[in-house]
Amino acid sequence: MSEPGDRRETTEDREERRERTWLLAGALIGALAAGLLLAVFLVIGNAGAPSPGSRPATSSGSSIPPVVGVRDESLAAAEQAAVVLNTLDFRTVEQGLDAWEKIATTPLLEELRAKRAETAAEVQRARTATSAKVLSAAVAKIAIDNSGTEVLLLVEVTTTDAKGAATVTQVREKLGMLATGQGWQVTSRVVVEPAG
Amino acid sequence: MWPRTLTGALAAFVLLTGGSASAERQPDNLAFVDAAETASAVATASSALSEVLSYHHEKLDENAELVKANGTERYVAAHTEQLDQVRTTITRQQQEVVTTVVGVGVRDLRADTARLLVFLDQKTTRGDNNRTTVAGSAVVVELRLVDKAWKLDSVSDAAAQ
Repeated sequence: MSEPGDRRETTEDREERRERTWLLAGALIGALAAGLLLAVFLVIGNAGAPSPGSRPATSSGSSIPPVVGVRDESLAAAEQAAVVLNTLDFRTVEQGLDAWEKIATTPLLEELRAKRAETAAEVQRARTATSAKVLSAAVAKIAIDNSGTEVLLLVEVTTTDAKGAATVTQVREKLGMLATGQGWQVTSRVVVEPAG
Repeated sequence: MWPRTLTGALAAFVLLTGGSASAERQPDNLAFVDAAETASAVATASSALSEVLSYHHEKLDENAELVKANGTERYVAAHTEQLDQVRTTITRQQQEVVTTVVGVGVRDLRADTARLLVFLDQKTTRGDNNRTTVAGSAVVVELRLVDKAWKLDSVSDAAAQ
């Protein structure tokens, strides 16, 4: 006696099962290929950059000098950090300030924390939202032990008020970047105003 | 069945590798790898820009000579064209401009070319009304190695890149 819905496997069922098996086999092959490729990238890539939780590499058997990873990864991190540090919406100010603190380390982190209440009150009073994009960036200095870099950035900041009116400004910034256990983080931030 | 297997393989490959891109490595970029050439490019960009972008309304011919000494033919042509467009204004306002480099970053360095981001402060004094203003800007500078010396090849607004 069979249960309701129970039926014998038909030719179509067998065909469908076979197709699923082949598809699964393909996915496994793809996953293995991707894993192998990623492993190769990691081996090559880690020759030149500090990985989270470790000191920056200063030597390796790879032909790519460690400074390449330090330069390119700190630059990429600085570009992302500049966007975060120039983005703040009065409607979600606490989340915005959390994001600032997440990418910062000493001494900038302490400065941000010390001014957090003041910054939040200021933005909520002005009822503004800022967004940013990096127009250009380049590494200016790399520490001799590859532990830190200084990055110049030209950032376009759009400030929108509560009525929706937007103002666009360009800001010159110097970010000090430090290799930490959490990856590259911002240790200092200077807005380069013209010296009048 | 192989097409289906291939489809599965490709889908898994794209899913697993697609989100893993991080900073793009540029192993051919010699910026900071060749420390001596990096320093040389930075020094040249700083001194050359300070010289060619500083001028006095009564000494524009001297500026033209500095441009020839510091630039490639391409840069000399571009600078001359720009200067010609504002020459009348410079003279009428009796301008004196002093340019100071306040930051230099090296974006790319090859055997005979370099690309830098430079922050400039320009102090402009107008003799016709005795007013002085200071403005900050950011430019992207391309250098080219000519006879073993770095020369300005182009200077453009960094915001327009």
